[in-house]
Amino acid sequence: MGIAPEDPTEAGTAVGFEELFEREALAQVQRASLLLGSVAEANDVVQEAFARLLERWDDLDAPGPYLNRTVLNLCRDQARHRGRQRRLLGRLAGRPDRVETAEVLDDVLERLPFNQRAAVVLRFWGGLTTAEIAAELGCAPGSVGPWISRALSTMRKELR
Amino acid sequence: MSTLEDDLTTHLRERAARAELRFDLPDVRLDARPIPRARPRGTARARVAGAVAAAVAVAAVVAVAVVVAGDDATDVVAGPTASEPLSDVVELTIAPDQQSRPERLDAGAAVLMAERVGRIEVGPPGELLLLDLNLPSAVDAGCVATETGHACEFVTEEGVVSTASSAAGGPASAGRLRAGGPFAFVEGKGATAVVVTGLDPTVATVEVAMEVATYRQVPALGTVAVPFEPSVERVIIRGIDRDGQVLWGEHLDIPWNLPLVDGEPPTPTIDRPGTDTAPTG
Repeated sequence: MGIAPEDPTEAGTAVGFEELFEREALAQVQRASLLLGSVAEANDVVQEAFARLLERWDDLDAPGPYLNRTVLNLCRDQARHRGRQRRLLGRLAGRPDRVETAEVLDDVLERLPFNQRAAVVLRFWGGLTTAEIAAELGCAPGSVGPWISRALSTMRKELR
Repeated sequence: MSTLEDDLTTHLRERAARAELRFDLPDVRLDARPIPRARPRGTARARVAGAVAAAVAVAAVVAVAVVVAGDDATDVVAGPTASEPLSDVVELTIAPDQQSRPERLDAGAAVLMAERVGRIEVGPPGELLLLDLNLPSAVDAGCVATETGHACEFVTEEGVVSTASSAAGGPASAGRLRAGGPFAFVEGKGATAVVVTGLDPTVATVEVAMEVATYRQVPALGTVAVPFEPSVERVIIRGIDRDGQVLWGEHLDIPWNLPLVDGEPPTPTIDRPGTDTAPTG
């Protein structure tokens, strides 16, 4: 797809911070917005990730993967925090008779466990392979397929 | 590929396309730099420490006041006590490296920091804790509400020392933020601070005097809030450039202690240098 954040493996000295920022910032925000469902939160997360990256720039051999991982971890933390809020709020009773597919997808994506949501986003938006998704999420490749299957199954049920 | 997967791919692409970048490289650089610790200057430092400690004891720690709309909705963070010489009690410093922080607050808060406060928590009124600004080296802090209204808590290691909140709409839309040429200021009955916003980038320092020539200097970085004694009726504000030249000066006659007119404080006047008295707003 070519729109997902790249996974540069250059050494810190091979690519400048400015260059990495120009190349990655928007894509990282786009990905984070899909993971969080909020552009504002995505911007906060990515800005924080870049700040952390800059602080450690001289010590990093592979800043791209560090950035990817930091954004994902911050998104995971944020999702966890929001999950607590959502549980406290409880489910809103009732749904409209007719809902658009996009609304359902948004709703389901938001409620999916983070790993399922991340796997779906990385696969269907980022176009990553199972191995690449596993590397991004720091999990075994065998976990990715079931996560995506469960996520799709949930969506199908919701769309019925 | 199934229909669902097609729909999902299309949906994610559309959603991602709507996400825009709301910060820039300078913001990141600012965030990545350590927060400078605001320190009182020179020999006054010890006295400042004592004054601050005393202020803590009476829960009047925070140096910057937040002015909000409404006679009853004072919601003002406690400032220095009126008996303290302002120039010694509060070395109000806006941490330059935090200038990008306010932009990161959806609520539009402008955060000014000096000492003591270790954390500022900002959220909509009634829903604090949406966002933490960890300011481990900050000591005093203030939070200025702008467009959407929000609440702030200023937290030290010992706990919350002060809170402030603004009604939805904030002082600007409540009609309390008045343009005054090179700056605007927030006024209101019961307020204890002049909040200067919209400063020209050439302004390096804002000096504020309380009726007499006891100017206090604060760095002018977009927004400054300067506390003063509630009894003060005239405040003098001057903008200073980096070479020390006075760019402008204003005398603010603040009707803090005057009766309300139709539920509103009277409009203050500004004596512009070389001009007749002109109304603000």
